[in-house]
Amino acid sequence: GAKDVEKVRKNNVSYKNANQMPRDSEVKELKLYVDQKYETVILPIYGIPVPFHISTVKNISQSVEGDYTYLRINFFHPGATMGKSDGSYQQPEATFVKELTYRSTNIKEPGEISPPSSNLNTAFRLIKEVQRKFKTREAEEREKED
Amino acid sequence: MKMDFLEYSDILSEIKGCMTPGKLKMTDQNIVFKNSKTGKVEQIQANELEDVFFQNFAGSLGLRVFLKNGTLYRFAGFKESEKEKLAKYFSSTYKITALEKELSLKGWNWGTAKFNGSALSFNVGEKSAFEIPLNYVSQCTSGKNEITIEFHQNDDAPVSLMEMRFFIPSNEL
Repeated sequence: GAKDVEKVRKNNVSYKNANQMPRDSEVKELKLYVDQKYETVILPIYGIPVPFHISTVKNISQSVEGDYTYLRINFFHPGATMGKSDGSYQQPEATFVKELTYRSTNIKEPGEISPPSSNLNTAFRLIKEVQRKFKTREAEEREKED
Repeated sequence: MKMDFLEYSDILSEIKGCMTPGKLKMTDQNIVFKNSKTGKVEQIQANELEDVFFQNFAGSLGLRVFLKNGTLYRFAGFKESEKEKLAKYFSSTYKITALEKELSLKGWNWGTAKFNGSALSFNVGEKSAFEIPLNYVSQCTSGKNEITIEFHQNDDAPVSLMEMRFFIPSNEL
């Protein structure tokens, strides 16, 4: 029925074509980049800047251990969220990227303005921000529908 | 006009998550990449080539070179205007038609994981979202509905991927 349809997560798409991908230096340098316009996190995976729509991100955490900063990104996948049945996934039979962890050094090289780990700090802050905006908007849209 | 060789002085080779600068030379015998930082030379014999694709790498034209033994090489930093010349060279010298490999930009974290030689490709629909050369993997463990992959760290990379976890549905295990 109508209720079942509503439960299915909307499949948000990050980019329709390569022209929409940002050309910022972070993307080219294979750093993390948060595209606020398209509500997408771009994560470097072996030479490829890979977009993940903010709706796929469940939560993130950051930690500093010794000379390194770590950023862990957890994604939504079936069988994880309490109270959310697997029916809310359009392809519950698929393989899901569940978690990605990045590491970056806190030590500045001579001549560097900020340490490499500042990229992870910025990403952490912006992912939270885009996630908050996205959730607020989603909640507003749900209210309108009701 | 027949091209005997092609030479590029500022090419990037993807090595453990780092786009490493170097020189690339292609002859009818082999493809040679010389790492500018370390001086290390990688040599691919022409008769080892399985297929070659044009692929976008972080905003520049790249080549995805796959060998018969399953090894994957990725070179980037070519200019879009050089594509035709490269394609011609591959077809005339190696008898390989270099096709376009488009990447998935959907932003989805679900798809299928496929092994192709020594590379793991994560595909969303018909397109791959990313590829992992398996020689970058330091450890792989499996738990309930889960596979954890840990990677060798590259201190030259500004950010380094440490770990990746996949959720595998029960029917796949």
